[in-house]
Amino acid sequence: MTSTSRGQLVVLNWRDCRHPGAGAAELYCERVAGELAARGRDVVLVTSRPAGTPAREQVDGYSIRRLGNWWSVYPLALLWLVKHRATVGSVVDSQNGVPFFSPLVTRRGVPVVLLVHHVHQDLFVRALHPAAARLAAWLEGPASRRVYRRRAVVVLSPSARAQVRRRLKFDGPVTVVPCGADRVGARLARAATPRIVVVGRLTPLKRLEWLVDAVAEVRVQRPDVELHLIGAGPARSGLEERARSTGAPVVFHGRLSDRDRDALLGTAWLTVNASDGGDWALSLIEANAAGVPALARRVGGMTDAVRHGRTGWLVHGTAEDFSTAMARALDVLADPSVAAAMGERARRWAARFTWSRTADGLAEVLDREEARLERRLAGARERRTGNDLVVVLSVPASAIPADWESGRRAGDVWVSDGTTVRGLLTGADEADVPGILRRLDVDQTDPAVSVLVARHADLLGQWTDADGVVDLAEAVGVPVELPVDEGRGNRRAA
Amino acid sequence: MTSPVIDLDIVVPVFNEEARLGPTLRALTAHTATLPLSVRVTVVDNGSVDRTAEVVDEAALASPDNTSVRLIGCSRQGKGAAVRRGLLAATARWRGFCDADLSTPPQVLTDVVGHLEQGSPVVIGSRRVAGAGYEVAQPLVRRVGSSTFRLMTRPLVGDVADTQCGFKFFSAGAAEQIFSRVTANGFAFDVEVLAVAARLGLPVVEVPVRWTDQEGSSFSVWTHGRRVVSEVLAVHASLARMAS
Repeated sequence: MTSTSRGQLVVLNWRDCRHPGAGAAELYCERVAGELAARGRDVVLVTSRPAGTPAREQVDGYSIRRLGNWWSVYPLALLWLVKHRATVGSVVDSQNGVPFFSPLVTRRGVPVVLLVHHVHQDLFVRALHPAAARLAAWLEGPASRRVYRRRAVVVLSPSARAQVRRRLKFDGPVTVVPCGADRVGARLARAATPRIVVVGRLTPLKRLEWLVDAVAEVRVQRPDVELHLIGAGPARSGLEERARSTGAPVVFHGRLSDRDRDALLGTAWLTVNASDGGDWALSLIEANAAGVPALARRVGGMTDAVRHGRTGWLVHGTAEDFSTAMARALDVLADPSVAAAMGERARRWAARFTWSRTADGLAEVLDREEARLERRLAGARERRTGNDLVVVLSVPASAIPADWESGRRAGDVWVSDGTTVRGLLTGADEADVPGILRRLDVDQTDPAVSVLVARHADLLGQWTDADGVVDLAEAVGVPVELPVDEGRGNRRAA
Repeated sequence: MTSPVIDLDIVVPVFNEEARLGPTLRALTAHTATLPLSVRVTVVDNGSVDRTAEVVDEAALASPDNTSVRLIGCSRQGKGAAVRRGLLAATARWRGFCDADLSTPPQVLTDVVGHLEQGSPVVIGSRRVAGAGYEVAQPLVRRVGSSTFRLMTRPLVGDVADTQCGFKFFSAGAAEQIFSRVTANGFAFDVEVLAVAARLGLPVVEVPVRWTDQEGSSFSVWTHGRRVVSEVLAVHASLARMAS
């Protein structure tokens, strides 16, 4: 048992779900806090205190300590860490643009994991006064790089990892630990007429006007189409006006209870997202969990969240291209067998994102970080980490000894589905595989053993793609068949 | 699984090349399609975090009949390490590497293969032989840097005019002899390859290319100059060890 499970685990985030502007980052922190508390850890979430909320609260097995406002929470949280220095066993430090810089005050040997929710460099320039934007960009980039140096960084998606490497130029280990998604119970009967349901706050950044215009256009061909928007937000009045003027069939539901939201979502043919792309799209995955395929633009984290042709589709280009793709997607999904197959794949894809796995991932990074600090305190030299290359090693379960789990390298992820054992090996390449196979006592010459460079989907846990792709371009006027691919789907390059 | 006999192995080392690699592979495979050979393009991923691997998948789907495209990884950082990894995984009669930005037009391959067919063990692209040149004139600071570099490397590589063009091909035997000895990972990698060839007494043929400097080139004379000098000195040292 490592000491991360002994001391207090502190989760730092500038807001919590009681905050009016709370979003996916807050959900991530709270669900992880709850999961880890349920596993017996002493967890405290330190956050800001919006009006009307208590300074101290017990929720879901962990405690919340609220201090200061959106900016003063940063210095106050550091003071809190100083005051509780003796009992803090590990820290998850959220960087929502600016991190808490907790390594400045924690004891040596206390693992700190930097949780980068999103890289804000571009957003700062758009949202802040130029001087403030420069300061914020410096705090997010060079200052954080200096303070966190070789410490472990966690991001939500492979695209976010690329941002952290390329924009922030962090050079420590970066691990992808995706969000979970809550699943809706049984798939409800989908609506008889084409229905698009979108869940999320109505903000200008989401380009919801594209959806309104697109659905107005689709209506020419399909007079019975409907767009349902669930959620409130500042963009609502503008969208209502736009829907009236274009005659778009849009239903504004405002905020709904979880149960009503799920009931409506379950009747959807399709969910869509036209935003410029965050690091991940939780609402799309939640719709997938209800068996609803997704359509999104080929940008940022959308390319990670949507498996093109399998759980939905990705579109390049302008509002018109998006509108065309939406019409085609509805055409494709008009065939109940295609819709059922896509829905089932969407559901399977979403099923791999659970908050329990998210907590596992984060706990694993904390343990690894603690082991690294222990080695360093013991005077060992920092172990050379390879580059960001990850390979997927597949070994037939029949070829691997029953006690294979003892031969694993620390930090690698292994999963067995009964017939194949797969390892996601970080910082290793094909040349390192013979050594790894020897340690696992596997015959290297077995032709069924394969090594492939991991694609982004592999990093998210999608290690096999037995399904064929449903192409939107073929869909117009042509009956769509679901091709069943031999073996590895569209991964042809290795 | 039995793999067909490959005539030409082309190694393309890449690091975060999602934007440029697609056009490069399209141009490269469009030209290899015209060669009466069976060709294998091996992209060596040097730890990219972007969607480089997915771009290779797309190219693999669209590749012509006589050309296969595959992806392998290299967990040791540096162009030299990646090229070495790719060439050690090569099996063809003729093997070589080209840069992911395709500064050298792929049409040069036809000349290169011609020389290899006639038995030349080492054939490289060159911007400094008759018929070659730069599409766009180089800035002065870069030209001064290049001259200094050539002055430093001449004792190592003999009368090779251009060591740095990222387009070098070898016979199977030459590749095996050279790449089992090369150790540099950085800028001096190309120099070391030619220096080892010179030590082994392998003649080098230079094929003229019209070079275009590609956007996104990571080289800066000021920031990388010192490193180049120290790397070239390291090549001197490693060759001295090889001789003894």
